[in-house]
Amino acid sequence: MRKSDKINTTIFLILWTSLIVILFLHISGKVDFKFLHFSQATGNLVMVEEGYKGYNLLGLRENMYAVPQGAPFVHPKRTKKMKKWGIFHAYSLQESRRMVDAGTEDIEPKLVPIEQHFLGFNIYSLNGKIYAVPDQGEPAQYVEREMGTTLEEAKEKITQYWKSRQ
Amino acid sequence: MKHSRLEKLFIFYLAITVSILILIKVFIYDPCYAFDSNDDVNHTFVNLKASQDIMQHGSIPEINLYNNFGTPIIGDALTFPFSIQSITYWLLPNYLAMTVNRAIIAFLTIIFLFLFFRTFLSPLSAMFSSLLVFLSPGVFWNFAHHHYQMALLCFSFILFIQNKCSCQSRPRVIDIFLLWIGYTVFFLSVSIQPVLLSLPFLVLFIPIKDRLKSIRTWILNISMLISAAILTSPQTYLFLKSISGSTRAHWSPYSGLFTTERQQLLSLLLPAGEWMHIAINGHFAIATYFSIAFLLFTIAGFLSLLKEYRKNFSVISMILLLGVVPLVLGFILQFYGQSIPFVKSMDLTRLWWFAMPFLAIAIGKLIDSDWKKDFHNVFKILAGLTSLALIFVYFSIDNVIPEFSSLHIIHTLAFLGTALCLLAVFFSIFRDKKAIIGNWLVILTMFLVLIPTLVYILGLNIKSCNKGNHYFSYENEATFQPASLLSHMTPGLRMATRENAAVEGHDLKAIFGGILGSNARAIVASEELKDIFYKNHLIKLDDTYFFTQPWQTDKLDKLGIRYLLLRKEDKDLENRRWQLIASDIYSGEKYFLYENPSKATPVYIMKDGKPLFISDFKLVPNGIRVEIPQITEPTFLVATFFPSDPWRAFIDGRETRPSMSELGMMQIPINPNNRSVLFVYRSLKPIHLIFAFLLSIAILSATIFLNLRNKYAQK
Repeated sequence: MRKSDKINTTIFLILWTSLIVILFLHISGKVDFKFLHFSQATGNLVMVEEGYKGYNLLGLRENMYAVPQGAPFVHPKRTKKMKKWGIFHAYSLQESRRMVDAGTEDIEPKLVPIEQHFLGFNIYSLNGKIYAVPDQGEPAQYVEREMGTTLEEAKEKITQYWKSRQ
Repeated sequence: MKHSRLEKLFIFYLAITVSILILIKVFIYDPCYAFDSNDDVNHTFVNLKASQDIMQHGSIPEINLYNNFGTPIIGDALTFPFSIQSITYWLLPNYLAMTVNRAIIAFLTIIFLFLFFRTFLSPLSAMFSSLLVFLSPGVFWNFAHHHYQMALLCFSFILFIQNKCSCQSRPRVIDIFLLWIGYTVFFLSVSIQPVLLSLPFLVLFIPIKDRLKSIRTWILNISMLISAAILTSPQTYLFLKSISGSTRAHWSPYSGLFTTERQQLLSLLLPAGEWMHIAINGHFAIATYFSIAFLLFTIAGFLSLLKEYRKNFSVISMILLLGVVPLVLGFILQFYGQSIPFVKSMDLTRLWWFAMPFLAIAIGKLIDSDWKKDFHNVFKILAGLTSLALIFVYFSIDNVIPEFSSLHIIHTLAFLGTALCLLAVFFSIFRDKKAIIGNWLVILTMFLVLIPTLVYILGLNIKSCNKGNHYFSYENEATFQPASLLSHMTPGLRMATRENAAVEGHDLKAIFGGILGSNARAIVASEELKDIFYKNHLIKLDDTYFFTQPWQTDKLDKLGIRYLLLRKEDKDLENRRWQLIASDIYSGEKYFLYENPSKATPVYIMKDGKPLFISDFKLVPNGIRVEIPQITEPTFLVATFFPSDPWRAFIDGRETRPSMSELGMMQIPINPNNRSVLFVYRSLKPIHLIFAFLLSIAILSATIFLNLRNKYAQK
């Protein structure tokens, strides 16, 4: 081996060993390296209603999409492409229907997110009222329910709902 | 090629550290082992146990009676009872055998990759390329599994020996023999699909490398390949026979994941699991990830060879024909080959496993290159423009690739590192200095690219040994859980579970208690049997299928199902006199074990249209022996196994061909004077085995003899 090869290979092996040490420290929980946290795509597309006035109403995590029948489902981050295909983004089944009825995503008023994942519900405000939309399969997912006029009142009702289920 | 002691020490160190890395959680969590609670436990461990039980009686393991009414062992794509890696399973518990295997195979794979690369690259580049190939997502993900883990080791070993032979004026006998061993072990130890995909590489490597000059070595290589293929042909034949009638012949879990060209291309640049809008299960969350750095550095390495293309012709051809062409072909076949029979049920990205070494040579050459001298000025300008394009894309990523809008810091650095490297290529126009900084930029950038792969595949985002990642599991996941339920069942009787057998696998792991299972998991599970069950509303389809409600006791009787294992109490079953005989909790899940009121056994005779169950039977290697009770009139005896071609029945020693009952079970007519029946599964004929062995040895001997004769004739 040439001298330069020796030096380069040694440096390389030191680097490699350092990476392994970092991984060991991270996985053992001794040090939490933020740069080792990678995001992971979750959730599945759910057909909530098929063929509502020529649109398919799809759910994906806490979002609803009204997709014209025949149009592809484009990545939600491609907002321009979604507009081009006439895909509407909503937060509930009713809101997506309201958008389809109006023929536009820009309806007034719209659900405004307040708090996510509170005991299995996402909470929104609309016209001075509070609405809750289940974020899981139970009760009926994506269906908005009126929960009073304040966040506290809504949370109380959600808590009561789960207590009544037990 | 001679290797200095220091070089040997370096590669030994690298191989050891890789072995340690792939066992990382074993050292941290207790009692954690390196095995997959899904494929390994539910398929490999159980089928190897079935094989060993049969082999201990001096028979060839042909069928696992304990699952899905009999599933073939030889020819099954996940078992390989004669593989070299199955030896450890004779010596150690399953979970430990897999852990040890992974460590040893990883070590040897790195060593042989290095030896192969060293012919073309400097020690540093050869080491780095070995790492790149071993840790490439497709290879690294699948390395976890019994039926794939030897793939790269055998492949690199064969390439190394081929290379060695081609460098000798007359190949040595020991090298010819090693080549034969390499191919034979490859065929016996690795799933046939990757083996078939690797063959074009193994056949074309020598002619491409030596520009058709080493015809003798090539013929020798082909002879050894044919010899090993003939020796192992019974296994290959049985695989092809089984798969053609299996549930997986017309369906694949590998297709339809990336539905648009955009998704397909983006999945090459960033792990799909990070940016797709929906969860991507299994290895496709990362299998197609090459990274922008890898792809551009491969091109750059390739271009660096073009300036002296006459001198580098062999390497250029190898990179192009054995690297780039399979890369593109794998992409096209994977995403657009769905109309081609068999291709549609295969994961064609496996072509990339074998293209990777040749692509990595390009990157190794880039690291070894002297940028000022090696790049044509046109390419340097091209590199500069590409670098600017990358920087532009980076700063306008929200508009150009919104899917990548929130890039992780590692990807950002790798992206910018790639741009910097290309910029360094461009600036080498002006600086006549060895490109050491540029070379190190390549290495550092590629190091960054490896990190997501390691985190994803080793499950480093899960800070425990819990299953959820297929590299590690706790020891108790290696067997049937809750284990207490096994003691409530009688060995030799059959159970069914309402669950996804591929993942949970109770029906398969029941073999550890001597219990027969019902659900299907094997790739070679019969399509015909599935159709019968489905028409009778007995099963639910998933990857394969599992038994489900409505529980039709009369049909379950005729399938010899004595027990049902359920996740919740079933009042309907209890109303129909099924008895809850045990329950237990495991991992927070409740399990309830019910017993059939008719006390069903796997063998019965039909009396007045109803089964009369027989308790006097014994499971023997590859079959079942039944003592017939006293009967007064001719009837049918049913053994609840699927009557595929190889089954034979011997009534008091007289051979009879079994037929199929209405529910797909094996039946034979019997008379009052019949005493016993032996059902035997014979998929292999001894004459075929002997013929394959003799022909293989004849080809090996003839090759060695002709080689020696030429050698002495030359002297």
